[in-house]
Amino acid sequence: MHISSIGLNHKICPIAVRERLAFSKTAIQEALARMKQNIHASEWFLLSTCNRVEAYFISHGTGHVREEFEKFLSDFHNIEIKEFRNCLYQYEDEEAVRHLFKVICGLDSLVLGENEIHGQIKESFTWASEAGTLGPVLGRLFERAFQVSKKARTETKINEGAVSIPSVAVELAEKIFGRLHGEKVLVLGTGEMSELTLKHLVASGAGAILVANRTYEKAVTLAARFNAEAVHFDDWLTRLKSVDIVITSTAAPHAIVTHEDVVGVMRSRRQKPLFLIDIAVPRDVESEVAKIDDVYLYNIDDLRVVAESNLKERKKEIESCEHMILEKSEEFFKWLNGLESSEVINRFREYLDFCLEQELNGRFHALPEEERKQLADRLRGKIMHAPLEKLKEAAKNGGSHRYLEAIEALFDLERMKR
Amino acid sequence: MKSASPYFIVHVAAAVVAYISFAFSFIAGLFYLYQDWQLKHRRLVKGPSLEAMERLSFNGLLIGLPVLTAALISGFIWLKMDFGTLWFWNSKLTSSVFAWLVYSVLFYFHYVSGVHGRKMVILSVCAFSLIVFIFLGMNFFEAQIHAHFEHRA
Repeated sequence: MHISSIGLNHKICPIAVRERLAFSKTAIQEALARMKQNIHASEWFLLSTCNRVEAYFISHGTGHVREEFEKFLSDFHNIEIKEFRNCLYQYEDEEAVRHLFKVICGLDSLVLGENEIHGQIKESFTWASEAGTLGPVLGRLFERAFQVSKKARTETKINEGAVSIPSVAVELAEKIFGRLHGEKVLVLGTGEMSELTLKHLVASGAGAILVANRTYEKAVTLAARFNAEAVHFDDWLTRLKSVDIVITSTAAPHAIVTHEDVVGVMRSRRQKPLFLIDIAVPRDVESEVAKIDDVYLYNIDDLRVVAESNLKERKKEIESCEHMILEKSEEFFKWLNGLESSEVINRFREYLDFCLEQELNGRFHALPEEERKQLADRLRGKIMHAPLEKLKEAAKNGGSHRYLEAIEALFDLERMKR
Repeated sequence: MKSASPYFIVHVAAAVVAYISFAFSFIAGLFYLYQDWQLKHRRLVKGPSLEAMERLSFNGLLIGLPVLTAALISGFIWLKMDFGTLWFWNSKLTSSVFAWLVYSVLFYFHYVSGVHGRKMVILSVCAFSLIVFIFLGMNFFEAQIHAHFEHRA
């Protein structure tokens, strides 16, 4: 029996290929059903996020799971196999289990230690169990994976501290204002990063939004997307009085938020704290502004420094996470070996019974049934005695896997399963 | 022995509550200033937010001043009734009156001159430090005087 993990991720697969191979939420059920039909395995699992597409299989014997999965991907997405074949990675058995544990802990993520992947795997797990593609092995494996992930997140600091610029901005805002509840945000200058930062702030509870841009139409477009108010660029200063958080990212070659402006505003807002996030290069806010009481100014480099120092802290935790993953994967295989050996032994016994019954019923049908049964029991016992002892011994050293495989292959026990 | 006057009991209880509130405000203020410094120096520390600390610090004053007022009034009544005087030089009494004046000035700054935010926190931290300093100073001074008189006797 083999556990295989085949997939592609952000590390080696370019986005152009990844986006063509991704499965939408609505397509997952159908994909699972088709995998079940076309891929020779006994359990199937599919995960698709914006950073990875990964499948897990339980297969038996020397299957062609990889080729079949490649073909399935190609057929499902109408894409030539050669376009993505080189991106695929494949892990087997211990490696596959460790890979899954790493993925769920966020060690394989674009943002180290991010939490989202746990939820995504959980969701995919629900879909797979609804589609009936999970069995005892994958069921147990994912159950273990969720435990590992929880343990990693509670016992290590792998997910602590914000490590992206927008999330650092949110963390700082919460440090200043407490849990965000309707703090007013002004966006000066539209751009990808300012929009992303705004998105994070809104998701964390920031409230009314004002958008100002030199090209008023751009402000209107962004405002429409966030249910915000577009402001003419000449008016932003008069509106600053009621604003708590400012994100600036204009293309202006010189500072547009001056010391004088902010001092004036602070007085009229009775020193209520003001958080300025300047992600423009060159900077939009005069650096002198940082010296004003109750004003907290962070430019893109400051945010980056915080993010990087947090990332460094997370990186320190990788080792202890990996240690835990190794331990948990060993535990899983101990369980699996137990399960597997009892299955193989059962099949071996069935096979012997089948042979003995055939022979004894054929040639020795003259013997009374009672005696034939006794004879069969004794023969079976004798034949199985030595292998069972050897297996027990091997299991103690954790090496029963190879023996079981040998027994399965030599006696061709696969056919006993049908 | 004559049982303690109810005014005295109210006075002591109120004074204790008032000084605990002021101390609380002082500690929250210190924490606020530490966090403010960290934020200004691009460092993120764990703990409650700046706004929460500022609010705690200010609420300490908001509770402290009226209760201190009550402590002083009940104290004066008790003095008048039991000793027939309104005043005698004593470190506790003097520094309490001083504290009342200082915090009243602070409230004047806050509500009339519009001092808020970091400046307000600095003022409240300074006020508490000054009061503690005055109290300890007067205690020391009193001890000196006592020693002096005992020596003479």
